[in-house]
Parts: sequence; C-alpha cells; structure tokens
Amino acid sequence: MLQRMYSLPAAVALLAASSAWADDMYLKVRAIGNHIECTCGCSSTIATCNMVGCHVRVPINEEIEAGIEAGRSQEDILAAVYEKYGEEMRVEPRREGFGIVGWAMPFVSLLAGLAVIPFVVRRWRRNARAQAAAEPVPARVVDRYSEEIERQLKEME
Amino acid sequence: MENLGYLAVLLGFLVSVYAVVAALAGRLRNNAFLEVSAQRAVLSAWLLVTAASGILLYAILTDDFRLSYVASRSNADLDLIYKFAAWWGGQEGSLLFWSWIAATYTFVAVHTGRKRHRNMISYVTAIMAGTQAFFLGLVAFAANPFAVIMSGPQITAMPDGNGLNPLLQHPMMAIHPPMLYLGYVGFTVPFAFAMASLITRQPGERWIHTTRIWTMVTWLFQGIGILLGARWAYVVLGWGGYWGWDPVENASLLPWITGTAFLHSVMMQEKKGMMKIWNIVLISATFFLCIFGTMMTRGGLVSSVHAFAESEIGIYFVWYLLLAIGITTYLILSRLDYLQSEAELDSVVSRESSFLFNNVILLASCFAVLWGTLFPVISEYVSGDKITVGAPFFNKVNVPIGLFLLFLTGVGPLFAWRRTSTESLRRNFQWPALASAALGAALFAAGIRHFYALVCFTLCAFVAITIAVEFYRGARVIQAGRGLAFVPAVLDLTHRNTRRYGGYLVHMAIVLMFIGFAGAAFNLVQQQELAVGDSLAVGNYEFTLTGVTEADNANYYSAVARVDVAKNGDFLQTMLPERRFYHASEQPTSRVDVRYRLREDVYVVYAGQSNDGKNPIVQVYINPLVNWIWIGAFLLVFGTLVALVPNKVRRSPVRARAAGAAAPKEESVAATNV
Repeated sequence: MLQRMYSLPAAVALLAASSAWADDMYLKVRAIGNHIECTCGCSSTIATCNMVGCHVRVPINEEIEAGIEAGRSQEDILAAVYEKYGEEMRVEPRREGFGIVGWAMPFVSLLAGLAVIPFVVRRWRRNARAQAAAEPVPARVVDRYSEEIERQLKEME
Repeated sequence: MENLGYLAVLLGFLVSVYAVVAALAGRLRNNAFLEVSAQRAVLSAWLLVTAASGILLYAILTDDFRLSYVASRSNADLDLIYKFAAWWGGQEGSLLFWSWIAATYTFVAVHTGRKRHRNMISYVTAIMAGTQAFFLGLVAFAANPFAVIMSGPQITAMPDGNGLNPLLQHPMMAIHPPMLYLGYVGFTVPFAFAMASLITRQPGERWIHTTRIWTMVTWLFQGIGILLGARWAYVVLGWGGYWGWDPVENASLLPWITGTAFLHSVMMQEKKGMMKIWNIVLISATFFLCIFGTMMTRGGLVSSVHAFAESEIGIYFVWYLLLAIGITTYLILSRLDYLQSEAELDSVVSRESSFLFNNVILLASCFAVLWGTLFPVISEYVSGDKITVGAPFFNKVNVPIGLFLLFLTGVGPLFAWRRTSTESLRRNFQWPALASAALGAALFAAGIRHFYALVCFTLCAFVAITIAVEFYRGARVIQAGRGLAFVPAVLDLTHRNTRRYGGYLVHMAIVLMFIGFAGAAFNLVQQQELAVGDSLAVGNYEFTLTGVTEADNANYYSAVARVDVAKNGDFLQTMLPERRFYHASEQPTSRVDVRYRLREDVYVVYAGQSNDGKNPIVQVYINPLVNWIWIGAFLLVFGTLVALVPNKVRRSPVRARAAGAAAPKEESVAATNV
C-alpha cells in the first residue's frame, strides 16, 4: 500500500515532466490560435475548432508552432497568418484605422452615459427644489404624518 | 393534409390582419361590436395556428417525407422527442412555432386584460395581432413548412429524411429554443401595453403595474433560454466552454440586458414617477432587439454557428423593424407632455442615482455586445475589411463593464431612497468592504495573480455579504417583533416583500455566476492521441485510455472511449466520452463526459480519430468553478419565482391614511426601508 502511495505520484510526476515541453508548446499554440478565426465552417477559432484533420486548423497550427520554435513573437506570428490567409482570419478589430473605432466605441458610449448622469441628477434636484418652493406641504398633512409615526412607534414599543 | 395546414396558416394570417383592422376601427369609431369582434378574431387566429402546428407535427411524427420540411429536418429513426423538436429545428417550422407562441400570448393577454383595460385593450390587440400577422405572413408567403417535394407534376416522397441536425439531438435542445422563443415573443406583451398606454395617454403607471409580471415572466423565460443554451454548448459542442460570443448567442443576450435595465428602472417610475420616457424607450428597445435577434437567427445578417436555417427573409425583418421604430418614435415624441417626470431628487447619494448608474452600465454593456456583433458588417461597409469579431474582443470590452455592474449590484441596494446619510453609508459598507478586501488579500497571498479574477472574487464576496446582511438585519427585526426563530423569520421577511428579497436572491445568483465566469481564468486543456494503455497528464490529473467500445444503430454509429481518471495517483472514476456519426445527415458529433464538482469540472472529449483511424484523439479540460454558473442559474429561477409570489401582508399604507386618501388596493407594506 505504502509502495503504491509513493510509486503512483512519482509516475505521474515523471509523466508530467516528460510531457511538460509538449504541454507548453500545445498551450502556446492554442493561445495564439485563439486570435485566429477558423474558416472551415466550424465558426470557431483555430484553438477551439474540433474538426478532426481540419484543412484550415492543422496547417496554421504547424505554422504557429514553427514560428514559436523560431523564437518569433506572438504579434509577428499573427501578422504573418493574417497576411497569408487574409483579414477575415482576424477575431478582433485591428488597432489602427477604422479598427480603432471598433475598440473605442463601447468605452466611448459608457463614458458618454456616465457623463450624462450628473446633468440628469442636477435637473432632478433643480426640479425638486422648484417643486418644494412652489408647493409647500400643508401643515395639516405634516401633522397627520407625525401623528401616524407617533402612533406606530408606540405600537412597536 | 398539407393543403389543410397551409390553409390554416393563410386563414390565420388573414384573421390576424382582420383583428388589427377591427380593433383599430372599433376603437377609433367607438364601435364595441368591432372591438369584441377583434378579440374573438384573436381566439380564431390562435385556433388556426394551433391547427396548422398540429398538422405539421402530425406530418413529422408520421414521417410524411412528401413534405420538404419534414424530409430535410427529420428521419424515420429519429427519437420521438427530437421529432417533436424538429418542429422548431428549421426555418419554416420555427417561424410557425414562433407564430403559435405569439398567437398564444396574444390570446392570453387580450382575454385576461380586456375587462381591466377597456380603454386600451383594442390597441393592445392591434399591436400584438399585427406582430403575429407579420410572422404568419412570413410563414404563408416566404417560408411555407407545408411545401411538398415535386418531381414534374407528381408529388413525391423521399424514402427517408435527412434527419435533424445532430447538434440539436440533445435533451437540452428540446427545451432551449422554446424557452428563448417564449422570451423573445413574450416581450411583445409589455411593449403592446406600453404603446397602448402612450396612444391613449393613460394616467399614471397602470401599464407598468399590468405588465410587470408579464415582463418578469418573459425575462425569466429568456434567461432560462440563454442559460440552457450555454449549458447545451458546454455539454454538446465539445470545446470546453459555454459562451462563444457567437452572433446569435449575443442576439439572445441583448433583449435580456435591456429587459434587466427595464426591471430596475421601472421601480423608479412606480415609486417616484420618474424615468417615464426612459422606461418606454427601454421596453421598446427590448422588443426591437427581440425582432432583431430573430432576424439574426433567421435572416443571415451575420454568419453564425447557430444559423441552422438562414434564408433571404432578413429584408422583411428590416422593413418591419423600421416601421415599428418609426411609429414608436412618433408616439413618444408626440406624447412627451404625458411622459413628464414627477422628478425630484434630494441627494446625489441615493437609490435613484444608483439606478441611473445601473441603467447606464447595462446599456453600455448591451451596446458593446451589439457593436461587436455588427462590427464585421460595419467594417466591411466602411473599410472593405471583412473580419470576424470573436471572444477576445468581447471579453476585453465586457469584462471590465461586467465587473463595474457587479460592484453596483452590491452597492445599489445599500443606498436609501431620496438620501443616504454618511452614517448609513458607513454602517452599510464598513463590514462588507473590510471582509471582501480581506478575502482579496488572502487570495493574492495564496498566489492568485490574475487581475480580473482577483477583482471578481473580491467583488463577489462584497456583494454576497451585503445581501446576507440585508437578510440578517431584516430577519432580526422580525425575530424581535414576532419571536420567531431565525429561519422562519427569514422566510417571513421574504414573504412580506417578495419582490425585494426575490431580487436579492437573483443578485446572489449573479454573484454565483460571476464566480463561475472568473474560474475560466484558470482553465487547463490538453489534447493527445491515445492508444489503449496510453496516458495523458493535465494538472494533477492523469487520464488513461483502457478501451474503445463501438456500436451501431439505425440513427448513428457510436464509439465510446473508456478513460480512467486519477487525481494525484488516486483512481477517481472511468469516464466515457463518445463520438457519434449520424447516418442520415452524415455528420459526426462528440458527446462529452463531464465529472461535475464544485471545485472544478473534469471535461473529457472524444475529439476524433488519428490519421490512420486506429486511435482516438482525446481532449481534456479542467474547468475550475464552472458548476457555480449552473447553481446560479437555478437560484436565478428560484429568486425570480419568489419575486413573482404576492406579498404576504396587505394593509392600508401609512401615507394614504395620513393624507386621508383612499388606499390603493395593490400597495403592499414595505417591511423595511424600501
């Protein structure tokens, strides 16, 4: 039993160590593949396409792996893929030209919305003040409220 | 039989058009006969669409492959449940299904509201029947499910059908589309009442009281539909995820977000008479986004994995949307005086302000999703670049917005209406802020460095604590007053103000889901070809292939891999991922096997065969915390159902008694400082 306790973790550790390089490469390829649209018809990225022997994913993965082994950066590898296979392989807008509008618009809309809030709040407060000045609450209504509050407080006691 | 089905659709369309004309004419001419006639036409239309649907279902169930729709969406050996699902599995059938749900909603809304809303029910009838007529028109003239296969002058039948898309042959798919459709179509009801209220300039917020339950139920259906879709993607698509930011997924999310904003801002109108224009705009936008979502699914505007049934009908949706948006805009602009806000705000630090923030963030989130979804079309139009906007873009944009929203979920309920004092702020925020900061520090010390995940866990703790404190404080008051034990006091508290505490449960559900979303930051994945006896290591787990079992039946060929799973050397269980090949459609699919645990899911996929066809390729995902999403989904349903339960205590409110006015029947006692 004791032997089993020690031998199995050791085997797992050995296995894990031997496959560490492959794991690392697989994950790196997958990370880059997440930025490339697979155009085989699966509507996934190169990383998530699970078509067996996919004619799009397999060669691109090989190119990514070659790029990583050659020590090229993720940006360089992606640029080469987009250049070779076309802009439709992108899964996010470029950070230049009209692509900047694509990135900026959601945040611009959020900031615009947040910027409007102070104006709305100011208007509401102005209306509240104007209303308070125009229509003071009659004393009898205030008295009724006060009496009701007193009565309920006594009930609670 | 098919002629009868088509006749029923055609008559349903004509009767719906009649309902629109009769309702409007009856109202404008003050002719009660026409108004009642329109209401009866609604019933007739429902009966006709039900008959048409029944005939189509009969054709599917009896394998009538003379019908083009049946031949392309079903096959003889398809399981009964999936034959039923074939009704909405394709373009024509799903439009008929949509029409049937629309007819059902119209019938129920009109016949339950005709006495209470005499002044505006005819407009409600016209708007709902008009929407129904649009869809029935599509079924009758553009997407006929009763079309037969012709060979020359002869009607011919195929020996067998092509079968339902294999991806749809999953129990989840028998529920997911109907739920989504119930959501999409259901938002027609509050929209119709809102428009009718505008047209007739109904005093007060009656339309909101009337449609609140409709909106919540519809919102619930939409939410269930979205979550079932996510769950289906998780267990069927085999890529280890549950949300791919696919255009059609996004389209279902959009009206749900605006519906969520509406359910919050509507409280401002009910309690304070504020945001009247905004609420009309929100419910209208929700309805338009529902139509837009249908257009995305059926019209082929952008490419999508969900586009099971694209066609050229998108242009009809565009015209319908333009017409509806035009009329709605005119109605709002021409009735701005009626929509004047009874606005008053004592302090910037108040519940009112928090609702404003909440709505802005929700709308920004909605816009970000819509923008990303449409950006490929816009980009191609403007710059000629045809790109796909995928998960990386949506995650980068929506994660920070989502975290801000999570923060507001915790902060908002802690503010009082009108004004929140500094003392109240300190009292409400102190302990939740300190405790969540301590948790964040502990997680950081434990080695978690992923920024968004760390922020998310901290905020989740903050929101969860604020909600727990709200229940605790309320229950303590009940305990003191009625001498109940703590749990009965919590139940009593919830029953006294179901909407408020049901809402808190929904907030807690959102917290649980965010915990699950954050877990994705720590996913592990590995794929490998395995011969029998080979092993694959992922994290602390080891996966060993012990065999492959093959089987064949009339519907599909199946190969099941037996994979022994061990963690830290200890055997856990044998998992059975499956690969199927459907004969009729000649398509392969994967059936994943998942070991569900609160801490992490072990997700094993039979991804395919090796190039020589001898060995399976096994893909393994370790997905931490993903189960919290499904638990959150159950809580979301439960919380919404709680919010739909009527309050326990009803009595004349203090305000009415004090002011000497008649007490509104519906008003309930707010147990605490709502």
